[in-house]
Amino acid sequence: MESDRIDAATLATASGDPSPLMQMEHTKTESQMRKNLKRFLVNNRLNLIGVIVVGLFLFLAVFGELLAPHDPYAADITNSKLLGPSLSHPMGTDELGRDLLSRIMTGTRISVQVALIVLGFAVTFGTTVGLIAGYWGGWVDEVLMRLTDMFLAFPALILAVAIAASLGRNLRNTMIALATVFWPWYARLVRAQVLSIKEREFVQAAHSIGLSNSRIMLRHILPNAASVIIIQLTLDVGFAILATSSLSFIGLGAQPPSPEWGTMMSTARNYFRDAWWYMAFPGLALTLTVMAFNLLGDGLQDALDPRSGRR
Amino acid sequence: MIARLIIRRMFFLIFVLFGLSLITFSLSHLIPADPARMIAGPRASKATVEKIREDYGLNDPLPVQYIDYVKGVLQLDFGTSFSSRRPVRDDLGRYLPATIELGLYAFLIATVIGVPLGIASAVKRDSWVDHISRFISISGLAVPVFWLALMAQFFFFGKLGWLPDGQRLPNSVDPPRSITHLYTIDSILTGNWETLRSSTEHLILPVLVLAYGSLAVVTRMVRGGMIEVLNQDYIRTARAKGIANNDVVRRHALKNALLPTVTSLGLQVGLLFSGAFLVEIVFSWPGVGRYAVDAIQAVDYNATMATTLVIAAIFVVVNMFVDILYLFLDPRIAI
Amino acid sequence: MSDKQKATFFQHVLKGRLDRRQVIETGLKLGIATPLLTALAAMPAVVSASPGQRPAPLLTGGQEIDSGTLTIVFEGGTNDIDPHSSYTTLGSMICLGCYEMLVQYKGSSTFEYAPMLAESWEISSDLSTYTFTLPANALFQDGTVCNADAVKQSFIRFRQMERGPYIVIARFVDDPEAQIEVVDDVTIRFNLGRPQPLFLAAMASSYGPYVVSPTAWDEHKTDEDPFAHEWFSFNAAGTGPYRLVENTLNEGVSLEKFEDYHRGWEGNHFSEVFIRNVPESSTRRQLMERGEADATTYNLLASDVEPLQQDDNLQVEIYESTRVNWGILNVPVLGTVEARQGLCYAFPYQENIDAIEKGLLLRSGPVPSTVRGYDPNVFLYETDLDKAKELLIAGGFKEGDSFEYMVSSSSADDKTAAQLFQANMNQIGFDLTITEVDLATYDDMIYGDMPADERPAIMGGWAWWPDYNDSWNQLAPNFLASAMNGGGANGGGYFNERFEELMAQAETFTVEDELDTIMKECQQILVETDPAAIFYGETKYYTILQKGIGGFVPNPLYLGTYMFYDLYREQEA
Repeated sequence: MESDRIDAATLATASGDPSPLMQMEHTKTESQMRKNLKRFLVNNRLNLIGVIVVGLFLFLAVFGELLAPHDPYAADITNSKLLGPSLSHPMGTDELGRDLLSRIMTGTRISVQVALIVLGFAVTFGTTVGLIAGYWGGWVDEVLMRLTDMFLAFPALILAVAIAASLGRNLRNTMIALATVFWPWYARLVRAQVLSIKEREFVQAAHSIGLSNSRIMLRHILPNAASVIIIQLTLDVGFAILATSSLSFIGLGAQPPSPEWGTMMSTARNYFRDAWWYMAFPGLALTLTVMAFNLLGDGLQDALDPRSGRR
Repeated sequence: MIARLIIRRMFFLIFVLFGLSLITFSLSHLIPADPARMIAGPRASKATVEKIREDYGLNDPLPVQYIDYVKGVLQLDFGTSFSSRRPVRDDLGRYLPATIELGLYAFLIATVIGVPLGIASAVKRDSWVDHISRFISISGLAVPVFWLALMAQFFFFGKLGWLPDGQRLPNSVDPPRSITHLYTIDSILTGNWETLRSSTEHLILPVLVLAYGSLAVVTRMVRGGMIEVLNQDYIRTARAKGIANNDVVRRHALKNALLPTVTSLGLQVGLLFSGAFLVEIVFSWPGVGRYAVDAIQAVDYNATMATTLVIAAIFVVVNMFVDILYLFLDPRIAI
Repeated sequence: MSDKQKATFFQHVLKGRLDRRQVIETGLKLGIATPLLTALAAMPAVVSASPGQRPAPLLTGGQEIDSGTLTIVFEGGTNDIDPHSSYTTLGSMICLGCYEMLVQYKGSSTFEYAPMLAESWEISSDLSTYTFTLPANALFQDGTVCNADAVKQSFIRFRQMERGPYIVIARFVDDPEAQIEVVDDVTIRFNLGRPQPLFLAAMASSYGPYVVSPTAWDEHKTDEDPFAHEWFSFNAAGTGPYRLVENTLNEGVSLEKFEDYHRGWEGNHFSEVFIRNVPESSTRRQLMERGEADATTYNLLASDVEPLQQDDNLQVEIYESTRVNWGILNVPVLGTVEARQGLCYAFPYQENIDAIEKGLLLRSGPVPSTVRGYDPNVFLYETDLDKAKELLIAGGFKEGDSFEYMVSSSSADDKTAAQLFQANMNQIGFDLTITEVDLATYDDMIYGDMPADERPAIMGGWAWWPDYNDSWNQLAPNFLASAMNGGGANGGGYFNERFEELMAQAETFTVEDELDTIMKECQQILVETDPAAIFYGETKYYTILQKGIGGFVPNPLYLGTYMFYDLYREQEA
């Protein structure tokens, strides 16, 4: 899961100082951005696929349950237990005879919710910490960043497993665990941004006219760090969904009868021998979703990040 | 300068490890289930459980337990695992090599395939190589490791019967004499070809599954790094001067591809450990990832604390080395 | 009735011409005292039975044939193989390889006995003293001799350590130093002080009454650990046919043959046993199908059994067990009898049996049909949702109320049943919240001392089988007040005064008919008049074996275990 912090965070780890990337200034004009965005959507087919799949995913998160061909919770164990894919059940049925397509469609919403909550918390907390550390510097920075590094020192999933297990197995605790794992990345990212932004003229100017610290942070620095946060966020939606499913898979996340994809696969393991579809489809749905968010994140990075203005 | 940074990093390491011990200690003691009950097993009476609680010092106040724990850790004594009833250090000695063997091969494969693939796709942008490389780097990070592992197991063991379902070695094959604790290398060193064949067979699926994610990281980083380098002025100049493309790549760009590869090493340690526990669960691989998850689920305080601590420590140490290496390799980074 | 008739009767009994019921019925007609009859009925047909009566391996004319390695697949590991402490299936399985009880249940019988460590035994006519004769050549795996004194020391350890299954001995022996008498080197006598018709049954239990080496105990004991429990948890020193090579939690347990085993190695036996921990049920099935494992018992999905029966390379044994599955009702949380009855009416019994358990479950009350004291006419609920709703409302609940149903995450079939139950409850306007917890938390919830109102309303997927053939032993740890709050498995806080009274009588019963009467009422209370649980039914066990494996005789009391010494692989001609 850590892998996509390569561009921003790892380079920062490398020196213990803000990365060169982050120190580069955003000297883009509005029109350049628009041009980039147009290129991003029209010229690159992969980006387009990403946008379409993400769109479909978000659409299903809202309407999936309504549009599902069957009731995702209605069991009919006597007549339709573990049926293979067919016209009435395009993705087959599960061990209770529930329609898998309907469950996968319904499960979309859970994934979106989880991603929103986990990342919402992680971004808010991480940004706050990063903003304060970067802006104040000195010992505040030192304390906050060493604390952040401590969390970063754990391989993320192992830490999440430990937290989720100690809090008790349910989706809420898993979200807490994941938020705990995700926030330090934002703290570090935002701090690096702040360090570069706060030296810039307009911030100096704001100081000189006597604006309050909080105003400078929120009005002048934060908006300038937004694009980097958004790129990271897009990439992380996929990872948050993936991580939730991984935890659910080992029994820590969502619990049955929830149609969360990882939970479904966890149950499907038992029936794998006779019902490949039960394992295959939720896994494919998950892969596709995460892939789409990664494509989108990559594309956004290409389009919004000045350094990679290379296409 | 570098020496100062290394010393600073060392201090930081000690500080981090201390913090980690505190985090792991608090986390493992937060677990609601009663470890004494776990040790006693079902059907045991309350008196038995109480006795165990007393025996294991679980009735002591938490600060006392923590101080005892840190004292032990300083002497590399992680206490006794509640579940295996053996010193956790011995357990780690047993399971860590299995994970290292897995991770090492996954890393090698990822590097051997990923570096050339990344370079090729950067040089020949938008060619079929580039498409493959982009597909790998996008899908490798998106596909759930456990799902890929189960699918691979289902086909190659369940359907085709080509490869074993899991384990490091079947029970019928004795492990080679321990030299490095890596079965493949030990069996080569001792000339034990049967064991080598068997352990290689057992490695194939878990290693490939684990390597896929790492391959994505390497390919992606090398490609990105190369593109950046190729876009730099001096390379453009070199190209403009008419130096053959291959020559440019070989002389200038390749050297720079080393950088992202080294960086990815640090990253991969984390990625491999995180992926390893899922892969180990699916393939019954007796590694430290599975040991950690088992310990967490079995409310095995000592084992939980020790494994998370050791894994994190390895992670931190490797990253420290990567940082230091980085200093030597990348002239652009000023200290 | 003449003495001659009595003599003939005894002759018949001793030669094994009468079965248990006949012994009692005929004996009663002859006016023989009932305690004696129970004992006679409990005796093996020929007192000095020889190992030859055991399922015979292939006749090999004195040759030793090596069957190689027996691979068993199992789920989970154990950190306690101390025979006097371990209370788990895997623990039993290993102990039955490394140790021996004095006697064992004979074949698949739960009423007859066969020699194990003891070659023969005698029971006094009043059933209060039991004398066992040991073989002269029995050695422990540490090389020391197993004589009567060693057996005594071993039982002292079992009784005094007070761990795990010690009630198996504590019911009969309070002061082992005084009550166990070493008659001579090969003779040991238990003076129980009063008639104890079930002593032999308890001594054949696979939970506890094993004989361990007192020398090993002495060597490994410490001041903090006077019983050397730490050592015995991970090492073994018994008289059994196999010695422990290695026990690793997440890989498995490996045993190898003990050359000096007192029965010798003539005939066809396995020289190595490997119990492999395979966490995935689908993998366990695949290993069996691919011929990479030799045996597995009751740890697949019920729905896996039928397809495996079609597999020509496998043999599937399905047999009666003494295990009952139920969902514990939380009495303080649910309050009224009506509410509990209501829940009993809402459970999808038949659907569970047909669709999930695939017929490997038979309806029953708390006592399975295979155990003494079983009432064949026990009341059984039918699923009746209208009645369920009516009773729940009469019991003080209203529509929309939610009940928490806890289930352990390790059982796929139980989780499926929970969801069916949930659907039923939804249908009558109630909600069932399924909480899935890991096994540790689950056990802790049931055995621990958490206040009742913090426990779930229903703790589903519980199962129990007795240590030996006795219904008191089946019910006591689950439903007596003394088993509440950590004293046992009474996690639902069940208390019923009349039941307590009856159980006190059952503990010391001497005549089986008397036990039947007591138990009939006990079962009625637990099921109908003051329900303690939703009784899903008694399970049928299954063991999957590779085609060539012979010598497997399932016993309803030794569930999930194997008599490794009796098993062999058929040799190709």
